[in-house]
Amino acid sequence: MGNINGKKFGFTALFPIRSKESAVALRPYLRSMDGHPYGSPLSSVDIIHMARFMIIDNLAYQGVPAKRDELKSHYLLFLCDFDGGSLDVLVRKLVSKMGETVDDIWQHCVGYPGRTYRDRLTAYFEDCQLATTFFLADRPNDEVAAILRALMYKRRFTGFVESCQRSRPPDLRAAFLQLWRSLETEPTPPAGSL
Amino acid sequence: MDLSDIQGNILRGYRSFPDACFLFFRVDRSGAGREFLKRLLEKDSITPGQWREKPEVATNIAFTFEGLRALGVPVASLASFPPEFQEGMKSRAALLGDTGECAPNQWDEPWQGSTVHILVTCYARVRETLIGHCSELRRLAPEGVHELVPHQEAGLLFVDGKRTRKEHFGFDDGLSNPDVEGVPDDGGLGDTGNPDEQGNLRKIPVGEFILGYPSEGQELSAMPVPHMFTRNGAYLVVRKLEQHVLRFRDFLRTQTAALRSFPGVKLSGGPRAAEDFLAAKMFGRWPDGSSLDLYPTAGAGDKSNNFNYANDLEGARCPLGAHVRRANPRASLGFGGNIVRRRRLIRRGIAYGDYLPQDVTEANGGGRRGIMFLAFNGSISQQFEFVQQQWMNSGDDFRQGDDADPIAGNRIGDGKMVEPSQPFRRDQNCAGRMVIPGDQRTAREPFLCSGIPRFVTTKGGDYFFAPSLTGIRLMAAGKVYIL
Repeated sequence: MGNINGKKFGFTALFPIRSKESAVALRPYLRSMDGHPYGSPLSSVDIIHMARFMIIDNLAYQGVPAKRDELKSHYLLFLCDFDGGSLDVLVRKLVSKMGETVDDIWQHCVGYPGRTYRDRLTAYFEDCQLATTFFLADRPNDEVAAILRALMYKRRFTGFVESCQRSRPPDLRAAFLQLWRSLETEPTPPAGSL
Repeated sequence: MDLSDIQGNILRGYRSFPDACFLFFRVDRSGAGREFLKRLLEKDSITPGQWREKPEVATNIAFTFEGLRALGVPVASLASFPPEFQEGMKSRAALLGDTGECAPNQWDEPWQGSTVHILVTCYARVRETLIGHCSELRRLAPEGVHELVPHQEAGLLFVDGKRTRKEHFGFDDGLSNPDVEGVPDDGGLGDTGNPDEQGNLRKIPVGEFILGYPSEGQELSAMPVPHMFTRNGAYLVVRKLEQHVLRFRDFLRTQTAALRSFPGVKLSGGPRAAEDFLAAKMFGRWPDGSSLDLYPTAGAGDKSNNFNYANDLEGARCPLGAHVRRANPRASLGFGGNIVRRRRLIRRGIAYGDYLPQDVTEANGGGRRGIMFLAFNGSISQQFEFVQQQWMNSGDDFRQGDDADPIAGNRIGDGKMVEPSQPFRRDQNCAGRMVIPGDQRTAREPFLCSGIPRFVTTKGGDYFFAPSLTGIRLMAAGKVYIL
């Protein structure tokens, strides 16, 4: 299936927005998510590697001769790479981890069934899905936790280089061993903390 | 290409106009705004790209989206302008890294408290004529067009009593503006085009900067309507950038003790050799303009652009994250430099404030200084905003992780872990970091600079549209029609 690469699922969907007024209300709400202390409310969904929201207002066609084109509505574009073999995995996690925020976003979209009935919500997501024919995934077999851990190692190692770049070899070795031992026991950082 | 219709400051550098003044206006009544434009046109005040006689003061004009709206440009036309121009720079501050001490609530006036509608730029050959010229322009503004204060003076810096093209950190500026097709040679070295299939430099299609002409993609880029109004126009990015010179010099001094004794670092002679070495590594050029790619150990007074980093892909000569290498990566991202072809900017920046002599310290330093950054491009989002977001404020393309540009980049997050009890905040000002790669040929080891403070802070700016002379006439006559 085009959506799957290793352990990852690549999902792209266009959700029609109810009205121009809904689009006007939704845009600032999505922008306000940038102020979340952990970067985004999506960071609480611990299977998501990357996600993006975009509102498509209009399709202006420029050419020679120029002419305008009209879509049937405004659209909410949602792209998401997550660990999982099916869309149901994503929907389940979105509802359980984000709760009301799912309603706050998708209530503006035509046909949104609410978050109470997960099967209907999964079917809704599937209906709005754009077919993915080729999914290029960075590190397809590394789940979110593994990547967070790798980033942590990188950060810690950078700090080590910063503090030890003038050290003599014996001190360098001792400091490196201390770093290595601390990395073995350090907990994986939560998403959005790096 | 009709240079008599394109405003002069886009394709001309105004190199022989060393003093400048920027005037800002708000339009309260559209009729008054159009009357102002009419008067400017009647006086032949707006300088085109081709003049019959060289003016004493070159004057040009540009409009924000709100300015176009205030002048009565029809809604159907306004709606066809690109979204980033419609929103304006202030609304996009977070995208551009203008947060913390660079946030709009820290900007100078008139940028902080007002929306500038009209920008009038005046570049003079002789400073004394500039003041009189600006006064005349102000008298042309009718009631209903209000000047926003303060205006902004600028000019080429006096260093050791001589006019120079240096910026406040001490580096020669404006050395690699693009060579554009169809533009008469302005005395440059002709070595700043884009590479062709053979890797030779060739001139850049004018459509990368001016609307209505084929671009590098060999198509006409998107133009707002009506085309008669927007053809021969260009988008202008204006940013007032304050330069913290003492902060910069202090940082260099704190690092030099470590640098002098670092394995493999060979410094040229002179009392400030270590500072100059580090500054050059951060900038990517020596203060005299010589490229590190051509002259890795010392400047040689050669300002040419006959380099492309193709033989320095590991950054041993010019660090991968150095300022000029980020601003124009040339061939260092592979594919013969084709990746950068559509990210060029025509820069028309000019310094403001007095140059700070080397012997000035914190105790006796004073005044504010920086650069009025002006860049013309055919697409703000594809050119200026791309370079700002992807190359200045991010290091991914250069294998620098999230390290930002050491000179002009933002400083959000310092790569340290965030404790859950103190979650990461985007407006938190932190210190930056830069790797100076080692050089296997000279056995120089890599050196990690850390604790780099923010040397450049944004103090104002906006996105403007600089119409053609035809476009200005249409606006003045109230004849911007959508059929």
